[in-house]
Amino acid sequence: MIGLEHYMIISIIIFVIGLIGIALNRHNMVSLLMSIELILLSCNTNFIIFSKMHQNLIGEVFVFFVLAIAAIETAIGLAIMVVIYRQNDSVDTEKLNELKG
Amino acid sequence: MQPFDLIFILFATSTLFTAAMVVLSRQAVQSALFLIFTFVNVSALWMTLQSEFLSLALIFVYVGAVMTLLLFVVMMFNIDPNEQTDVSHIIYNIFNISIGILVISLFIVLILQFEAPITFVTDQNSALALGKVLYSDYVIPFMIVSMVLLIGMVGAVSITFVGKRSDRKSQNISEQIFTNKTNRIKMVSGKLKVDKKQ
Repeated sequence: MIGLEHYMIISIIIFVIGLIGIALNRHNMVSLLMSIELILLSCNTNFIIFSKMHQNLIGEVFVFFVLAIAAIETAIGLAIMVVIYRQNDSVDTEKLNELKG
Repeated sequence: MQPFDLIFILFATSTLFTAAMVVLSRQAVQSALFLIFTFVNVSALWMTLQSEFLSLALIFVYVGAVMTLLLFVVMMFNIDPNEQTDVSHIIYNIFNISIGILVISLFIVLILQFEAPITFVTDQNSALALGKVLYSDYVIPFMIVSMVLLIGMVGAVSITFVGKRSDRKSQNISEQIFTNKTNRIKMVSGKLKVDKKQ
């Protein structure tokens, strides 16, 4: 019998896949952005699971706001990435060393 | 084994497979397409949790808008897939994956300690209930989010806009508006020549 705990297991596995993706593809900014999307997706899934568990609608309202903010975050991240690609012809994070920080 | 369990297992396994392929595939376009499949599968999982509005909003917002934008930008870049393979850091990668497996097993042990059966509600309309809450208790955050979306759109455009370039063709709107007929039509006097052979 499938219960909410199995949904939680799926959610935590997606979260860890996103974390591993950040660690593995840390050179490529596009892959970093996609891994962040996976992490946000797992968080939203968790919100919906607990909203279902407590029969409370506030979790779903929160997912709605998180979706809107995540969409605009992706758009601005892609805009910054386009500017970086124009500047130094690659989206490699190792080459972002102009400030010598 | 009930049909609900079969549906859950189907979508859960395909979610895990596509999410792993997002991380593992070398081509950026491939991983973007696998991310789209992940969103579709997770939205099916949300549908089984009876939150229809959010699962459809995920498809509309993410697959329809965000992933289209991401695919456009990915196709603009010239990323060499063989450039990123750093074999020297293989111990680092093994370390990462083992820590990930450790975290997953820890949480699975924690989660499996309690049982939470799904209680299905038959007379519930997710969009109606969410709309009632969203337009009454959360109306101020709702309006603030719309302003944030507008500001973000203006910000994204102003970051990438570089102004008028001399090597591209572009509109000059004031010149278009203030033009008159003498700029377009030229009167020529003389006889019209007609070729008789045709």
